[in-house]
Amino acid sequence: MKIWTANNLPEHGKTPSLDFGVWSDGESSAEILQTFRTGEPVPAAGTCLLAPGQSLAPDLLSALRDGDRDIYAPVNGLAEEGMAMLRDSIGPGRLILTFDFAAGAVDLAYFEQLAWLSHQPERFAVMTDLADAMLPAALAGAAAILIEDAAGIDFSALDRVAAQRLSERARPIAPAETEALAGREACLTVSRPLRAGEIIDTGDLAVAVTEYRGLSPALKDAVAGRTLRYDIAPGEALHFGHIL
Amino acid sequence: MTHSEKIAVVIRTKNEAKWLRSCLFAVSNQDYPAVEIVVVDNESSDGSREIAAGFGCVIVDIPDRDFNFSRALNRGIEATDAPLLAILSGHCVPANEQWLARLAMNMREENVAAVYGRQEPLPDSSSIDKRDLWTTFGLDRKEQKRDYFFHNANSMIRRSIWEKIPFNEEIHGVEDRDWAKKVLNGSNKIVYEPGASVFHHHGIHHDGSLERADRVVKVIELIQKDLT
Repeated sequence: MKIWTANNLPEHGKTPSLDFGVWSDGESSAEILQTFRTGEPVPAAGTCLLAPGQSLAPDLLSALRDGDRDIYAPVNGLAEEGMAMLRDSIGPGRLILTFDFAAGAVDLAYFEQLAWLSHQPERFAVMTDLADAMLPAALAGAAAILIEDAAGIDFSALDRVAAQRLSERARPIAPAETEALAGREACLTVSRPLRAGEIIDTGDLAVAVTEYRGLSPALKDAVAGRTLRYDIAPGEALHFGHIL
Repeated sequence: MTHSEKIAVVIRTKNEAKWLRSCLFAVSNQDYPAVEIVVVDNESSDGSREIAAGFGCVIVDIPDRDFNFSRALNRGIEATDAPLLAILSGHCVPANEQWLARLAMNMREENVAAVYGRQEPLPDSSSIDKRDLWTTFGLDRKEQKRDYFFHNANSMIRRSIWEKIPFNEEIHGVEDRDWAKKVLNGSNKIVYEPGASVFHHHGIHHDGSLERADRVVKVIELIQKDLT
């Protein structure tokens, strides 16, 4: 994961999971990010930052399209029309949707924003100095974090999260999932003994926790009206093998 | 792998009308969102083809003169571009709506080349088939790095590997174990996932058919000697 931050971070530099980048040699990150918030496009460190409200004139779009820089575009700054023009011109490969979280709070709205970003075809980045906001962004799959002032930020937790993402290991099973995986979650059964050849009526269906993991109660409507291949007793898990 | 990555379910059929409707009903009601069903039919005359068409399956015909088990699978896989390929017999019925997702969740590890799931008998399966299925397909997940037991009645493979190692059309049956042995090259592994269960009425030993056993043994002996 890319971390764009201040000019010098000798104590971090680079870890196996975090790649620290410096925007430019001449200006501080704060100045560049302030420009990002208020001014014209900023070419920096092989990238280009678009400002919110940026006027996407045809010549600018052409230049962006024909260049090879990654383009950080503000999702909470460009109008839908502007974003559509960018998407049409640039495509998802070089476009990084950038969410400015400067004055935000780590709350439900933030998580909803991350969920939305993570389902877009483009990569995404979050601009924040709050360590508490960086971790959810990393977990949601952010390609980059943009930081104005990195002083005092402990990157070790972020490093661990990024390392887990890079490892592509299967996720650990949460305790709450254990019962479900052991086949002890509620599933469909029947409310009275039914014989092979009978048609399952909605009123015949019930929900119970059974040893065997049968069909989800969500399939009640799909199962109603089907014919049984085998007898089934109340409390016995209904599964697809029962159904003709 | 994301949960929206397309999976194709490739199903081989030859007169499977008795089970195919149940099989396709189960596959069509999986909670995995992106599923394409390819049925490779070998001259069925019992309505299997029509059942498959009724479920909107892509149908690939393979005539008797061209048929072997490997070729049928290869032709079915060629008919789709899905990166993950579930393989299912037309007479096997996934137990619940999580079957496909349980197979696919194992593919999040890049070095998992393939997964095979549990097979269970049905109430009227023979005692021989019940015994063999319960003995072979246990309740614990396994990761195999040398053991090449693998079963295409209920499995999932990675397309990128199949493109390099398609199923061997020179052998007749047991193509799953032949393929698995070639795939297990030191870095790959094959996973047994008991949570991805199907019902397989006549089991994997076809009620103790000696003729079938002879054929299987001959192929396995060749596989053991790396002669396939």
